[in-house]
Amino acid sequence: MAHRKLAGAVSLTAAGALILSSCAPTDDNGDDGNGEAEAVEGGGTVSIYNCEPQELTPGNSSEVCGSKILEQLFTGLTTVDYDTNEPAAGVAEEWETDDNITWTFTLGEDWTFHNGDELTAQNFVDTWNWTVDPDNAQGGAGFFDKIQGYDEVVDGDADEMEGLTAVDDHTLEVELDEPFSPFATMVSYTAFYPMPDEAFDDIDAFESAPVGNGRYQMDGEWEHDVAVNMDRFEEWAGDEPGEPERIEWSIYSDVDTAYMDVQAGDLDVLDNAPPNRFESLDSDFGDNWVASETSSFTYLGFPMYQDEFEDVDVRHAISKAIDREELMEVIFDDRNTAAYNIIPPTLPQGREDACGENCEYDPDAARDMYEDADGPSELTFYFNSGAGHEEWVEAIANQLQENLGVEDVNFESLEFAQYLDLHEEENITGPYRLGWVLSYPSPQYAMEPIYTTDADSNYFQYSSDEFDGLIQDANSATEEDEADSLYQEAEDVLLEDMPAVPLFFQDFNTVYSDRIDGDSVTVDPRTFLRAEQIVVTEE
Amino acid sequence: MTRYILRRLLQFIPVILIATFIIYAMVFAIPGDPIRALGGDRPMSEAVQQTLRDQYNLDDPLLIQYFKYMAGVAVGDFGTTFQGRPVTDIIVQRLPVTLYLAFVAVIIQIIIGVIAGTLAAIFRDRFIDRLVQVSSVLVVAVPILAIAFGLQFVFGLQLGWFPIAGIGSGFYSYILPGFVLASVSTALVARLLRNSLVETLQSDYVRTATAKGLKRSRVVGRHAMRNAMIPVVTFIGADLATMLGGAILTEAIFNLPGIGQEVFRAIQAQEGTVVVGIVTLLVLFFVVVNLIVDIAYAFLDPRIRYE
Repeated sequence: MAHRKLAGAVSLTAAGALILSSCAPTDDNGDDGNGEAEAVEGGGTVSIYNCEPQELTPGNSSEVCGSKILEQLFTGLTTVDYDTNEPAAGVAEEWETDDNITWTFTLGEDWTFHNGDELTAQNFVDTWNWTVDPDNAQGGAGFFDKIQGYDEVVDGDADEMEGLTAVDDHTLEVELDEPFSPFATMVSYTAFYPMPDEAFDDIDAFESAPVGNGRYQMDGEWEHDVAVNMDRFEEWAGDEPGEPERIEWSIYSDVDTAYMDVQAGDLDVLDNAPPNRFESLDSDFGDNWVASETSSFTYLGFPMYQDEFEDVDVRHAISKAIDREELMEVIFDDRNTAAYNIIPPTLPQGREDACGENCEYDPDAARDMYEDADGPSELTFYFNSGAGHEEWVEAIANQLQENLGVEDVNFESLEFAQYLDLHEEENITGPYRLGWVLSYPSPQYAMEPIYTTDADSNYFQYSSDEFDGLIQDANSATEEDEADSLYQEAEDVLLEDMPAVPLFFQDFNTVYSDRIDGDSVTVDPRTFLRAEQIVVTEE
Repeated sequence: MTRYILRRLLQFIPVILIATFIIYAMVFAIPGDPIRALGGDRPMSEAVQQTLRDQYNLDDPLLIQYFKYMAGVAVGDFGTTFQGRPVTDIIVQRLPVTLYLAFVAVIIQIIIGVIAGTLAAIFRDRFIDRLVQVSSVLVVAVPILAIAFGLQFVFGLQLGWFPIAGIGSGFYSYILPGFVLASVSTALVARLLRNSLVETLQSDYVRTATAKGLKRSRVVGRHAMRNAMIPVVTFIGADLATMLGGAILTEAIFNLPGIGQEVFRAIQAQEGTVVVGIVTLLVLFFVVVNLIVDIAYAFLDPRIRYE
């Protein structure tokens, strides 16, 4: 097998490879091992697949298509070092906290927006307040709920969050309601990017050509359904400027078409080849593709408010009756990774087999357990339609039918809006599919928004004091090791109580043209292609 | 004639009103809360959802929503998507793409369909006739998806003659999708014209023309064709209108940012204003094309008069 399989956590960045040349992978092209020699002068132009963004305002971006673009146009208060998944310097050079409640960020002095405006702490304060203001209806507003004064602004009782202070131009102080240890990681997320003053005067104009502070700046406007083009911002104040001189995002409505365009050489990179092409990746692309593990998690949830699923043995039995490896092989041609955990193994806190016995495929034990617990003889599976879930849900249903003696299986597939309505109204009567992607690489985000009591995405109606307590303790922990082990303990509770059966993590199979140095192509655990690291080797 | 056209134009008004209401009601009736679905797997906060619902009048009953929408339309405001993009912008950007595609497809249909149909009728029961029949059955029988991928694979990927997707190469970009969109109709035009022409060629007035010693080309071209074309023109007119809304598949496969794709997306996202805006335009187009077809009859067949 000629391709490489990179775990996001250990992937080498192109820039990193230059510095750590002793650890850099040996080059097939027979040059001196210095990747720089291959790149075209100035960095060249790379064209990359994208879907049509829904919006290009940082605080509103709730989907990947827009976020991919914003990632390049903006630099956050912090960034993430994807070698370690630790927060790294962004606009802020350093930060400190004693209690995980009061956070002080010291900003670098050379930062400007693409329009020349100086970037100060006040820009962060203004942007964050604007994003939370319900009149502006920003989809990412919920991310700010840890900051003191969030509730008052959301309820319309205040215009500004109390907890935000620009002490001076280069010092930002944030006061939280309760301790939150992953805060520095969280503010690396898209919703926290700073916007210049001109954005608030005319947000529509801003959205069609966002003015950011990132590695790249817009060239022209967002051409809906066609393209977004950006050039490297030469005055960028960060440490590792972008490799390509220009990035052209080509917008496609159909991934298959983009796949063929890469084959024909009309497009340079497609970050996620569609599943129907998995089998032919080798024959279509030879060495020109690379797989990256991501945090994109798919699980089977239980409506715990239904009597049939109240007994933990029923839930364990279902988990043990699923042969995840067979599922990966038969349905996904081994291009996805079976999940035996809830914290993704791409994070340093993730453990390969956190689930242990509860996810171990053992049809006989599962059947006994299921029968003893009087599990339902009829199961209805719920999933949202039109997103390619049909095949694997059916495969799981078959396994359960065979291994547990379930007599009758039904499938309910609905449009996403209807699907969520059913959850909201507690009308789900069987196991259901949902997914989760980490917006920022923290074990906290893999669990707290889904499994804590009354959390927004807690469609199970799961409630555990032990779990809630552990998350709270981990969020308060001032030592990193302590926090990590508390998060892992919380994960253990989840895998024991099993409101959700972990199924798999999605791998991103990136295909690229001959113009691209394959060693420079990586997708981070948050499923974002590191476009700024791509090395173009031919004009 | 002018009176006739005026009368027809006046009839458009109720047609459009009824069409917009029916479409609006249909989108309204789709179950599920579109705002909640906007956030995907990660729900948006309740405050944000409420702001959006208020902004798009989603909590109002159907009739109120519809009147608010029509009140906007009356002053030229066709509403926006849930992301705040004006519907008129979308139409202005996308309609030309779809029109261009439909235009290319109709040209292909007329040229190939008419030539094939005429030849088949003139050389009835000979090799050409059989060839046209067999190939048209084949085109109709093969799923359009297969035709599209086949053309993309052979002419785009293997031979590299045409771009696989997008509109970056101007006219060239529209040739493959044009053929795909035109394929089935071309076959139908050919068969329709063949049968109609065969029949006409046997009629008395054609025999008279032949008996007068007119050249064969003049008999067929001037006399027979005009009559034989009437059903074909009706068909092409109706087909043109369907193409505008029905090119969803072709537009998606060839990544053409046209109207069809947008309607599909908007229906899924339950964006009433977008669906109504675009579909109303399509309805308008349909009635206009129908009017033009009716007028064209008068030129083709002198017996048809409009008062």
